[in-house]
Parts: sequence; C-alpha cells; structure tokens
Amino acid sequence: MKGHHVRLDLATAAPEAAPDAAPRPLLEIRGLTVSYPGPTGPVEIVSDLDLTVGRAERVAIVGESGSGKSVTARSLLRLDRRATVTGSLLLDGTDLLALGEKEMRSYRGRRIALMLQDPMTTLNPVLTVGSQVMEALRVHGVGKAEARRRAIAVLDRLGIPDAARRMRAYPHEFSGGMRQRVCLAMAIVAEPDLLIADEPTTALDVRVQEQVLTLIDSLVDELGMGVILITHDLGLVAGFAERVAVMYAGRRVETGAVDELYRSPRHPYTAGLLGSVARVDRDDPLRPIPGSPVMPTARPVGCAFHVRCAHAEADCGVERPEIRLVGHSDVACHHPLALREGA
Amino acid sequence: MTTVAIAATASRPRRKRLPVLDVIAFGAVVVLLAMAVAGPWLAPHDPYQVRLDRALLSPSGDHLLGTDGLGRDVFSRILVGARSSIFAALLAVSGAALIGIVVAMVATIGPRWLDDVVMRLCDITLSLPVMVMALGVAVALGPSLHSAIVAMIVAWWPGFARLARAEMRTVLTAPYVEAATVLGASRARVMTRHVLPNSLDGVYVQATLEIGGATLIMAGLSFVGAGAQPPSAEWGAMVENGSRYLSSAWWISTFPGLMITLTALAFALAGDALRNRSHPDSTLG
Repeated sequence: MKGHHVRLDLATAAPEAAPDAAPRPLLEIRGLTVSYPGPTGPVEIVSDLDLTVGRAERVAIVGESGSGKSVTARSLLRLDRRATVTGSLLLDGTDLLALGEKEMRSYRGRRIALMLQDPMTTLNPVLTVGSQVMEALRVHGVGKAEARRRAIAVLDRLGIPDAARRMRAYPHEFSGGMRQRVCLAMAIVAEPDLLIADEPTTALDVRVQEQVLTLIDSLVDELGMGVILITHDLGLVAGFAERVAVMYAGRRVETGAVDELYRSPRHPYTAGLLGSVARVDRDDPLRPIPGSPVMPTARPVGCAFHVRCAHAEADCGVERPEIRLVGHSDVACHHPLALREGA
Repeated sequence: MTTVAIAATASRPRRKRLPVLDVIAFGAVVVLLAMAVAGPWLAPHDPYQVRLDRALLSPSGDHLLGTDGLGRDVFSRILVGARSSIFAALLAVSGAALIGIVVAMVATIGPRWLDDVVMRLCDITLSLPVMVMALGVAVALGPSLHSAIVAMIVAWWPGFARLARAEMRTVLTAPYVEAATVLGASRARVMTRHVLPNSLDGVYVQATLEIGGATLIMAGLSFVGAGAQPPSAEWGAMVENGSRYLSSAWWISTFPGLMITLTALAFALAGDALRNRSHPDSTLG
C-alpha cells in the first residue's frame, strides 16, 4: 500500500477502518462468471475470473475487443439487468452480488466509480457541467451548497481553469480533453474506494491521454483509491499500472507485475499482444497475432487461444489449461514460454 | 455572430440571439394569447347583441370588420372568440401531450408486456383519422366545446405517446444516461432528469405545430356543429355561420378564417423556434 489518505475534502465519511488482522484487499473477484441470454441459450462472456485489487493499487485489464473486459467492469456495478452474474465480488469484504438493488445503488458512484469510454457522449447535453458533477454527490444525499463546493474543488484540482464559473457551462462548450476531466471529476467527486476506468483515453489524442492518466495516477496517491484500468493498449499500461491481467475469450490468461510481464511474457497470447505494439526501446518488427478473436458462442475446446497460437500442441485443443504460477506470474497455458534471454 | 458567441460564452454560458422570424412568431403568439385573455374587454361592441337593422354591413369605421347576418359585430366576435378557439386548442394539445408523455414514461419504465399493450392501443387509435375519431367522441358526449376538447385529447394522445416513447427508448441507451446510473442515480431520477428532458424536443415541436392543427380541427368540429354551439363566438362556428353569405358578405367568414390560419402559422413557427432553443448546443438557434 503506497501513499496516504489526503482527502480532497474533509467532510466525507472516511471508509471504515479494516480492523481485521490480515489486511484484505479492497476488491476481491472470485470465480466471476457473466452470461447473457442469446438466441440459443445463455452465452458466457466472462468465465471464472479471479482478480484482486488493493488500496491505492493500479491494476490493468488488457485484451482485445470482445475479450470480456468491459463486461467485467460493468458487472462490478451490476449494470446489466439481463446479465446473469455468478461468483463473488467482495468489496471490502461485502459481496456486491448479495446486495439489494437499493444498496447496490448506494455503492455506485460512492464506493465504486466507473468512468465510461467516450467523453463526447457521456455528458448530458442539456445540463450544465457543474450540475452533472454535483449529481454524483446529490444522489447520495449531499446537500446542494456542499455538493457545489466540492464539485468546484474537484474541477479545480483537475486543472479546469476558473472552475467556479465553468460550472455553469454546458458540455458542448468544452473540448474533448476538458470533457474527459469533467467525466473524471464526476467519477471521483464522491471519493470512491475503487475507480474503474473503461478505455478512458480511446477517444483522446495522445497528449490528452497522458494528461488524464497522470491525473488519475496522482489521485491514486492522494485519495488512496484502487484503480482498474481497462484498455486494449499495452503501451498505456506500461507507465501506469503495477499489475496487469491479460484476458482472452472471457478468461484471464496471464496476471503479473507489469515489469515482469513486459520483460518476459509467459503466455503466447501476451507475447503476441506485446509483439504487435510498436516499442521505441526495441528494434523488432511488428508481428500481429494471426487470426481473429473467437466468438463467445463458438469457443474452441481446450485453450481458447490454441487455434491462433504458434506454440500449440496436441493437448492444447483437448484440455483447458488451469491458472498456475509460472515464475512470478499466474499463467493459464500448457506450454508457457521460457524466461526470455537477458530478461 | 461568431465573435458575439465567443464573447458571451466567456461571460455567460447562455447566449441567444433571436432571429427576426422567431421574434415575429413569438410576438404573434403573445398577441394571440393576449387577445384570448383580454378579448371581452377590448371588444367595441357586444358580440352577442342581435341588431337586425344593422345586419350584413360591410367593414366600416364603426364596424371594423363588418357585421354578420344577425347584425353582430364581426370584430368583437373575433376578439371574444379568441378565447374559446385558442384556449380550446391549447387545452386539447397540452392535455394530449401530457397524457402522451406520462404513458410513454410508463411504457418505457414498465415491463415489456405493458409497453406492448400500450403501444398497440396507440396503433389502434392512430389508425382512425383524428377528425373522424374526434367527431365520434364529441357527438357521443353531446356537442359542446368541452366535448370537442375531450374528443381531441382522446384522439390525439397516442401520437404524442408514440413520439415520446420512441425518443425515450433512444435516449435511454445514451451514454450519459448510463453515466447517471453509474453515479448511483435511481431509475426515477434517471428518467426525469436525464431521459425526459432529452426526449421532449420532438414533443415540443409536435405540440406547437399541433396547436395550429388543433385550432383547425376545433374550428372544423364547430363548423359541422359538434363543437361550440351557437350563439357562442368561436372562429370555426363563425366561418360556418358566414358561409351562407359568402357571395354577398365575404367578411363574415373570411376574417375568422384568416385568424385560424394566422394562429396555426404563428404556433408552428414558434414551435420551430422553441425547438432550436431547447438544446443549448443546437446550431440552428
């Protein structure tokens, strides 16, 4: 656990102290399985996912489109009524899946915040920026004057010049980067314990991407919140997260510390992802992963990746590999890659 | 314009400059509403006083718009009739729009089957022409201005319900609606604060356009005798009354008819202007 609690505002209730002897992680996902009704029965989008996030820890979930990373994020907030979610989602020891709808609602925004993908469309065009930031507090019973004061403080903290006056502006009067800051402000104004950022920077140019990530980064230290960054961009992860979970076809295929995983990926899919990212520190040519992600309705028997995998052997198409510890990473592969030379 | 917008943005977020046409339309609406309110006090003559010795006089200084077959002053009757004609149309449309919006919200929040039932009901009602439906209801309730209003609400709400529901369904999937849910807003709050205000554009425009249309239908109902009853001054009834004298005393029908047209046009234009202003990011304003 790094950093200490410097709250933006003293008036909020501090999260209850964990008196337990063994420090438990902020978020503990165990055996998360999410399925949606499909035309021919339920389709499993996320299967048996385990993941933990500590306080003030930055974890990235990486994967291609359709790998189930956004669904994982959304099921943490139980956003989809149609989805069937099983397993356990423990936030500070409380199982989110056991909460009633009303209790769950009090968790949304206040305990767990989700920052959505596209800042151009996540702001209501007919409401002022200020009222939307304030809403995150108002829905949880904070008074108007108080909410206003805190909204201004947060916008100010996020580098919006003349925040008090800009509160009255409408979203269309803001640039993309500014809107993303507003979205971030909405997410953090209630000082959640966990911030989930779902592709927070896909719609932004590189410079603004960096600014937004830097902001989130500094907030982690200030507020001590845990962050889950969901992205398909491994380049983004490198400078941000401490741990990475790589997802493929709804399953976690590799989890490890960022440095470890980048230096020496164990799962061929991770290696493939890394090989398809341009890097300034290496001279290797780009190697895209052959084939395309499998449909959730037609996942192959055995390891879901074996049809695209260069290292696949006979058993890969028969039995699904379980997660096991290889070196310092958790890997779900029958034939993990060896430690890289010089790593 | 651009400089104005930028400067205003810096100082005040709400900037608006009214185009000339909007001003005229709004002005006309205001004048019409004022007429509806103050008509009886402005009328130079008693609109109901029958003076057969002054029947069918052409427009003159004393009778600005002439007199009708019973010697009643057409100008005074138009002023007084504004109240029934415009208020009836306003009432009918706002009633229909209100019911339509409420029904649409119920259909949107409620379970799937409720949505289906409500919408099929709308389809059935919509399959009948408004005039026929309204005429049927008005006659069934007994011809009067009130029946005509009720009849028009009955015939008109489904159009608004469909419009609002379609819009709400679309808005419901907007990312900012999800963003509100993510913040912990309740379903009711999400509906009233985020979905509703963003779904009403169509309803505004439709409603204001329909006020014009409603004035026409209301006049139509009165014209065929299902609406306002004689001797009450109502524009549609006046047109009907004057139609017998059209070849000899054109003013009796023509001026109320012009008022109906003017009202329809003014509200239509005002509705358009309103839509442009309802969205702060609209480029049409």
